[in-house]
Amino acid sequence: MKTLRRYSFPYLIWMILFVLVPTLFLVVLAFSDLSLYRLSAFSIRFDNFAIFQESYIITALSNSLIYAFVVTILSFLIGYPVAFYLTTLSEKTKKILIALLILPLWTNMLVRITAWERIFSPNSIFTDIFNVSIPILGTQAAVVIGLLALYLPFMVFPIFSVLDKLDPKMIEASKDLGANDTQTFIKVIFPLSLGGVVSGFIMTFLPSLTAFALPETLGWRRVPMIGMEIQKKFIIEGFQAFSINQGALISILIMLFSIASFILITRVDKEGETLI
Amino acid sequence: MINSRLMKKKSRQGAGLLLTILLFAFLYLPIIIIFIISINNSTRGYRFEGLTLKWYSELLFNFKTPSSDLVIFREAIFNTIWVALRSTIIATVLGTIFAIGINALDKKRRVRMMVLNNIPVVNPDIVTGISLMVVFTLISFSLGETTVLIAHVFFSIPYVVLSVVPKLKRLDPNMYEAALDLGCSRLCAIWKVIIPNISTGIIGGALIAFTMSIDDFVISYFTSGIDFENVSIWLYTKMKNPQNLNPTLYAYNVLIILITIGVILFISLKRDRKEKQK
Amino acid sequence: MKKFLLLLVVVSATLALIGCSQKPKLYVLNWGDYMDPELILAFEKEYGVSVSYKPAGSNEEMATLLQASTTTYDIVIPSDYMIDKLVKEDMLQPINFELLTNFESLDVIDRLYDLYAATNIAPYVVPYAWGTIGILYNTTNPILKALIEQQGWAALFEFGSTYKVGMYDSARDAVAAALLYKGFHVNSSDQSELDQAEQALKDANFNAWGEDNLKGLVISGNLDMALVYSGDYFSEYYVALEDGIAINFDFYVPESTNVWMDAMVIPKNAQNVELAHKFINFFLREDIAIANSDYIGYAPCYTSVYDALISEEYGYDFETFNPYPAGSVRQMYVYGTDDRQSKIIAILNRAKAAR
Repeated sequence: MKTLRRYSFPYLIWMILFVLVPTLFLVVLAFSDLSLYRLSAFSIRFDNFAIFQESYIITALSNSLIYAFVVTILSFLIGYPVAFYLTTLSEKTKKILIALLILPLWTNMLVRITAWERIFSPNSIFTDIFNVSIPILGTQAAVVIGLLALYLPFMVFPIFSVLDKLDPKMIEASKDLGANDTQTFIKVIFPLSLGGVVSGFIMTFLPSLTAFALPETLGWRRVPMIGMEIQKKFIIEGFQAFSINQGALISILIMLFSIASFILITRVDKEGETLI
Repeated sequence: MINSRLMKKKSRQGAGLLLTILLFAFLYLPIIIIFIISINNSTRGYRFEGLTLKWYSELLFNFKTPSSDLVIFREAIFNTIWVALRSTIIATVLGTIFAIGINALDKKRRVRMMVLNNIPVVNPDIVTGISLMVVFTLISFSLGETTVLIAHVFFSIPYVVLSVVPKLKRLDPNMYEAALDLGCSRLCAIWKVIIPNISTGIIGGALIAFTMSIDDFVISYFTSGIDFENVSIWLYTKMKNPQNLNPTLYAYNVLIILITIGVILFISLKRDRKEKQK
Repeated sequence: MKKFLLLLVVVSATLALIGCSQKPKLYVLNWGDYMDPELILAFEKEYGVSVSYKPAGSNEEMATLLQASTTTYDIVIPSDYMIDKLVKEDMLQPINFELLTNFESLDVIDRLYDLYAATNIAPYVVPYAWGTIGILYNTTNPILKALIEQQGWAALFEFGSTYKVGMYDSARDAVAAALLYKGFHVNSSDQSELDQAEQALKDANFNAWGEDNLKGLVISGNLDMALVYSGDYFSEYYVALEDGIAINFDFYVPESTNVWMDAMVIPKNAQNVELAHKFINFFLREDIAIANSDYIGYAPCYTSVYDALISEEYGYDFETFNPYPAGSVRQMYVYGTDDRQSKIIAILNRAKAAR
């Protein structure tokens, strides 16, 4: 089978072309005065860093970090027990419930956001039918709840798949050795499910950190997040001098978070089996 | 069943059940709203004004006098499905070949390739989208349908690889060697021995690739330019003006959910039947 | 499995054949919902071409899209000050008025012509629509009318704790409103005046920043009032009238306001210049121009079209429909310097992040 290894070589080239090259180019943009749309000679420019002194970027960054953190912790606190509970059910119920958990993800994300927009309006079809009003559009709460609704399932899946594969003998052994339920959980089950937990953390944290359509809609643009600022720098204000360079710099910062996540995930799960 | 011993205590069981019910309620609340809007007899949809199926018939059957909005929406639906189909096929073929190659590497190299493979999976969409946009602009590749297609192939391949490699690992390498010894060429051995044994992984990978492509917004948004609009991009520009969101959009989404349920049921029924035959 | 793959190949091959068509294509970059789509269809049919209509949310976004060399547009409809900038950047080509046969029979409204002729953009533009900014409010609460008419711009800036107020997410309009509220000129580049405007925007504590969605938020009662363009009001007014919905909103234009103009321009790198002129000419045909203005709800730039709309047939006989009533003093926005433009964009960004 060794001869088949040559099939992996084009993939290496492909990945270099689409991962390494753009990353390098983003770095060049971030540290220079190069214009993306008018390629020419350029010089190193560190003034792009001044963007991190702007109050709106600081607010957006700290908002994003806080919301992503809150969303991840809440997802874990809700997602872990649910994943655990699901593993205790019969095979058939388990399958049905997992399918039901995936089903909402088949609805376009933006359509779900517009549905939440109606739920959070003081005046909408939701208030008309259910006779309750949760008028929190334009607040941090709306953004955090919305993010939670979008990304919570991504915490449940990896944890469930790890827990579901646990060897029952481990638990029995733990019991036989005299451990009570709590001890068994803390010393045996939880450490063994850590791979799933780390995947879950990353799969909820990074998308929450970089969301832009959701905070724009549910936050009525009063709740800035860093994804919105990146989008603005590239799309809306892209014609302003150095706007794209600043956007590239912010993207590089975000990349640092994904590299950190990446190192973490490679520690617990080398081949990424918990990622799908 | 494994963890049921720990769940023996009624109170814990109850708490787990309660939390699960709450979670499902939370995830299904927007789906219920989407369903209600799709059967509500009101264009703007602030109030409930009676049941109707007219949005469904408008979407599916009105080809004689469609509004220009509907024409554009249908085009967006077509674009979405068309890109998803092509990117799924390309990504599945390429991903399977790459996975076979990766699996044949020695352990150290294989792990390294898998780490590389997982970069697009972990990387936030906005970073991937901007990276691709930058690279296309750099080589003056005009943004449009082609760039979106390449982008979708790019982010789909890793999922196919992730889904195929575990199946390959379980495969006995001797079978492949045996096929070669019996006079089969390399391609013939792959086609006759390897592919049939990893087909569940391939189909699984293709399904994930298809869903990722159909749902994608962020990466398409950054790589699409002017000439191309899928449902997500169309919706994003419309969202700035939500009172113009026609309920046909919600009807389309309900239909997608129904089709999905149908496909899942079909696959699981077929599998059950197969298992019974065994 | 094999059958499945075969099926996929067959399906995709057929779809590929259906998907191909080779008509000349015209690329239009415009604001969302700012051109009657039925008229675009009519143009497509009459000339056997296909039109790709890309909506943008702001002038800044249009300029970015225009600069991106990866896509070229044939027609763009930005506002006065951005056209000013694009002309300075040498990104537009002069209009060939000889090709616009319908333009000769039309008269640009004098006041509007005086305004834009003063800014050197005249050879590059074919006026599309003009209007003002003002305050759209929900009339369910009867107190609001008196309050807004008495307070003017201050209603938006000083009553954020009592009422739910929305502001346009556009540097030009938000900063202009703040400057007008403080009693300064919309084109002020005086640092202390701009600082005061920034403070006003921060202190106002708006409930929502938006674009086209603001009008819907006011009408549905989710906001009490918001800054909108004049056409936002008129288009909503006529939609409500047609649908027989009770009208629960009104529009007020304060004494001192900004008057703006959107115009059709042709970028320098346009691929299909001749067809672009045909497109412009089509939308200048009087009946088309009337129908289109009626659709978008903004004041037409041509005397005969304007008169048709305020005639009994269309009935736009509002005081506020005229962007520049005789005797009033209104200010048109100019681009100013790059430095000022980055300043007001930064002001907007900071104001939106303020709590």
